[in-house]
Amino acid sequence: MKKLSMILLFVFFISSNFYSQIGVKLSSLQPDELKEYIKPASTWFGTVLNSATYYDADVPEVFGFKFNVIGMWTIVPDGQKTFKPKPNITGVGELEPTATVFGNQSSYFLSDHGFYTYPAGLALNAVPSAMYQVAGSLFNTELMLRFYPSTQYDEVKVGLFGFGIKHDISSHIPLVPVDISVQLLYNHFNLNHNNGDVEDYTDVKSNNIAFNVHASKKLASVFIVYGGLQYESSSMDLEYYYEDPNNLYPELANKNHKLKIDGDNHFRFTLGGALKLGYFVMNADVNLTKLTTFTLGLSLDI
Amino acid sequence: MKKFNRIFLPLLIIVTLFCSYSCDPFDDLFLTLSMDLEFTTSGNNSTILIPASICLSNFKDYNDNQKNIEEINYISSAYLTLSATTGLQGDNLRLTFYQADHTTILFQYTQNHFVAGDYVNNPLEIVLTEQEKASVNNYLEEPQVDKCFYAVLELSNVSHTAPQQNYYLSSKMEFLTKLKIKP
Repeated sequence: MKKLSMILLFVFFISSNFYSQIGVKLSSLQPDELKEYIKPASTWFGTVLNSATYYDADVPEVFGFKFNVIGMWTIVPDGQKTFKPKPNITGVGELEPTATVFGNQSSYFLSDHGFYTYPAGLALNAVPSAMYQVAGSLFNTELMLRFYPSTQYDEVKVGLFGFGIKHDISSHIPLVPVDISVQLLYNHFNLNHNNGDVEDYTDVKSNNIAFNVHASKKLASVFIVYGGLQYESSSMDLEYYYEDPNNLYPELANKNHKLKIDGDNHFRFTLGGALKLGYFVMNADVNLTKLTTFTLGLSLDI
Repeated sequence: MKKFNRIFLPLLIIVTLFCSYSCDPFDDLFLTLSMDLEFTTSGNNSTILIPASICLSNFKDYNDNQKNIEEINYISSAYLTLSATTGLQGDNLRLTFYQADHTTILFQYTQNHFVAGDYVNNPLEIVLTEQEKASVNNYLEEPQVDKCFYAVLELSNVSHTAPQQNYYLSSKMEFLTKLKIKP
């Protein structure tokens, strides 16, 4: 059981890995620049947590149950790897783009107190992650749940809660050649790092909502082809301690700051296929959005 | 045939898109490493000569990634006065950067007249020639082998305007490099 938990917690591994490498350096970024630095992470949460929520638009009228384990692979495009730094400091001119949380190359400038160097990112071309979820259905309506209780791992505490509600609208339209459903999703992820040292404190809360219309068609009773269009939005509440090591912004230094960072999530198009053999389903799809995401799912579908 | 297309067309699109992206999730990482050499002295001699030394292994970023560093390149350097006796000045400021052997010069920066107070909260950027940069970069080849630097700050005809006889100077040189780290 412990092993299974470890596998299912892969999504949290990504999050804690993310923290361990950059956490200590967040404190050197002033709030306005930290927003730009961390924004792609907010987009990533919005992309991943709003992925893999369907492979079939047909929701049975009688009782149904699903358990899904999903692996995801999110591509980080070049545009999400850098941002243009704009330090609010007299005498500092145009700077080279510097790394976001996913980037690999940091910029610098010469301030009154010496060189200031921006933190590098995680140097990632793609981000793997995983998720599990359960769903139950009745009367052509499905309720999907994702839950991982807030759990402490050394200095990091992580938790996840999400739900989706879906209705098969084609059940009300006779003779429609494909199944069509609408789905509303909400996902919340939280991460808190607290080792007792005020400089290392970080708290992240990611809130994500989405609404989609998707359609599917069963072929030869074992294959399902599906696709959908989704509207989505994401935002991250981040609290961190700004240390100002170069003494550049004394009015902001040595205190906690709370930031709200909207992700760049608006629309996505999903296209996928599934193979259904008895109670088992294997599916794969591609999500075309700011961060293109591939998913591979294994499900028990009763 | 039509059914076949319906089933395999989405699969083909997914596989094609997936293969068109890199399957390696990690990219090379470039870390900017700022190394500080501190020069501190006090006395009443008319000449100042302060040695300082530093090694790459003094820095956590280097030690944490030593085995995976592919390249280290010089970016820039600057001199700053942290604090000094009022009116401390002199002629022929000379900052010389050596290899660890204390004899092979990597670069040398000179300035005819130097007033220490001019560089408090106002760093002096040291601009190297292409040849000097190449010399530093050559020394930094084989980055997995720790490299040390020896630097000397020299100043002649030292004077100051403070009432006491002795003077003091606390200053530093920042030396910026870029570490290319393979995943």
